[in-house]
Amino acid sequence: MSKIEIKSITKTFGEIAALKEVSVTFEENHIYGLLGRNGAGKTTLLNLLTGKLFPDSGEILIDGERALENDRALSKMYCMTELNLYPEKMRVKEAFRWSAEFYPDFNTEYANSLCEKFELKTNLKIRNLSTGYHSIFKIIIALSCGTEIVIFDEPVLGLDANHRELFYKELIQNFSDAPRTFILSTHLIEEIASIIDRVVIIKNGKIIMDDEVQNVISMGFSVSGSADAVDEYIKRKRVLGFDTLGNFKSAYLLGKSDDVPSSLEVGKLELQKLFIQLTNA
Amino acid sequence: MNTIKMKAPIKYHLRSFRKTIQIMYLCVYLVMLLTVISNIFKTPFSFESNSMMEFVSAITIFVIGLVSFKEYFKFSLANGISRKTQFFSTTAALGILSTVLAFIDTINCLIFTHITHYCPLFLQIYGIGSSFSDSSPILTPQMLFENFLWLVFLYFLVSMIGLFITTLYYRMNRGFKIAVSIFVPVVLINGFEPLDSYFFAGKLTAVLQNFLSVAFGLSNGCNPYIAMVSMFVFAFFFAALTYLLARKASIKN
Amino acid sequence: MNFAEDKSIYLQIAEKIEDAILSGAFEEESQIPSTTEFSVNYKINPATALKGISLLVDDGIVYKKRGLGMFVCPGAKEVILSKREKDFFDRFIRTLLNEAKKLSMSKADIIAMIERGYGNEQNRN
Repeated sequence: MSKIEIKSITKTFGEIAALKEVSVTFEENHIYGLLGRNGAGKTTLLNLLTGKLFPDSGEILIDGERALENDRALSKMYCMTELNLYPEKMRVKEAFRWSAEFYPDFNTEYANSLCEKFELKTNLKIRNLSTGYHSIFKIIIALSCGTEIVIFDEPVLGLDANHRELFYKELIQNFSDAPRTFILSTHLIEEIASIIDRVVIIKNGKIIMDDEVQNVISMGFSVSGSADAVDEYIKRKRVLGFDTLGNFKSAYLLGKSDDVPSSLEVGKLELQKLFIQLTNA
Repeated sequence: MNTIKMKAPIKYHLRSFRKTIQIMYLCVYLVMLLTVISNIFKTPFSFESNSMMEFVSAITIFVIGLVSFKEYFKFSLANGISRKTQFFSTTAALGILSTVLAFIDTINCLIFTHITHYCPLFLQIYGIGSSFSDSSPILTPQMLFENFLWLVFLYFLVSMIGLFITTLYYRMNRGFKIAVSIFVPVVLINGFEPLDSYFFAGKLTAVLQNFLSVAFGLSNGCNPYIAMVSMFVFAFFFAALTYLLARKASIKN
Repeated sequence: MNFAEDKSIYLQIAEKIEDAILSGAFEEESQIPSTTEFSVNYKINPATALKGISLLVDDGIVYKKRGLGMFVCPGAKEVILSKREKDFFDRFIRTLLNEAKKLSMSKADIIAMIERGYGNEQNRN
């Protein structure tokens, strides 16, 4: 029971409207992918959700309760962010201790076991952690918190390939053991495309997509072949975009692929490709 | 605001105070030790340590107030604590600290007046000519109790001022910060008297002096209880301003 | 597992399990890994893994033992084989014929190729 309802949120920074009347609902027991280009408004949305910023208008409800300045609502969430919010001089193990004080369901044993897997020494001071380990430290707290809503804002910043893989596996295990609401906000769409089951796309401060991943992918298809053949086929079709390499052309279309001539190759629409086409200016 | 939710934040604050306070008392006791030693060996240097301790405590808790916003604000945001709870837990923690310091300082007073020539700040203000005699004043239980209470309010007021200043600075943008940092001290230190004599023919200073002496119970004889009430009111005033500033604080990149 | 393939992930999972049963890696009446283990191993959403396994349950290839997990049905091998045989024409023959058409190969060419394939196997044996 951890539903997030964001209703008509607007946030402006000076002259820039970061979010314009954004409304979206995050239901429980799903892993959401929150996607958007740099500056699209993802982090602003998450900061508003977790009370780090105040919206200009609109409201945010968690399980029907207003989230603004609400201890109870705030205690249902943990947000792993790029920001350095922890005191520099604090040691990792102290941070775990305080997390356990502020989040009663914090699982310290689990946190320590994750530290071993990621090879993070709990005695280190936070200011002495590398960028990658800073992320790992925050990821571990996020996974160990036991909150109903867990948010990851660019979790794999600075993580090497091995740690990224470990993170995804632990994430899935964690979610599988205790399904709740996970929100993953990231640029690495390819990596998370199979992990998320719902996708929300922000473009220029507006939500342009909010759907199940399988619906999104079956929304369309790609055709490839000679440029002439492709152009002929895509007349009177809803085209998202295309790539050209010499005379070889690939077009990305919405709709059904039952009438594609045999001269063209049909392909699945990948999430990242769809994202790029949708969010190009 | 959930009182149960306040327990952990207050605990956190008190933990963070610990080291500073330990160092402070270490220094105080060290100085006292040197004073006693210098008294015994009648060295040419005499450590004049009258009421030093209270000044040290007051300054320390003021500085603690000065560092009780920014780092805690960020940490609270990471741990899902509302600004309201943040404010009340900080104020409560500083109140607890004030009480503890006042208590320890009062006990210290008792000790110091017995081992050397020491006159607590409280008596210097409200006692009669105590600091000018050669021996330490005799502290009755009533004096000790009033000393303790008076110090609680003093320390709390001073910490609230520190907290207010740091919260104000956090909320101000860069231009304001520079302007205030230069303007306020200059006016207060150098500019007040000339401005006052030019615009108000010195009346403002007189009014202010009168107000302070009344507030601190010094106008008709010495009444420390008026001072306690006044200090509480001033502290409440600064705390209220701090709350108004803190409740709209946003994270900065 | 190559998720860029045209087939949906849950279908690929189901196929992988079927392959494992056919090869004997998952024996009949033995337990197969849980949904969680599959999803962690292949880094996919648990609901997707569950969908793939549910498919196999519907086809009578695996079944659920209350409180214990998923087990391979007795006779699962035969079920898979007959299912695959039915699909064989659609999956392989059609594709083969389409490709042959692109290369302008005649029926005789195709048959010759098939003979060659069998011949090579015999030579290897």
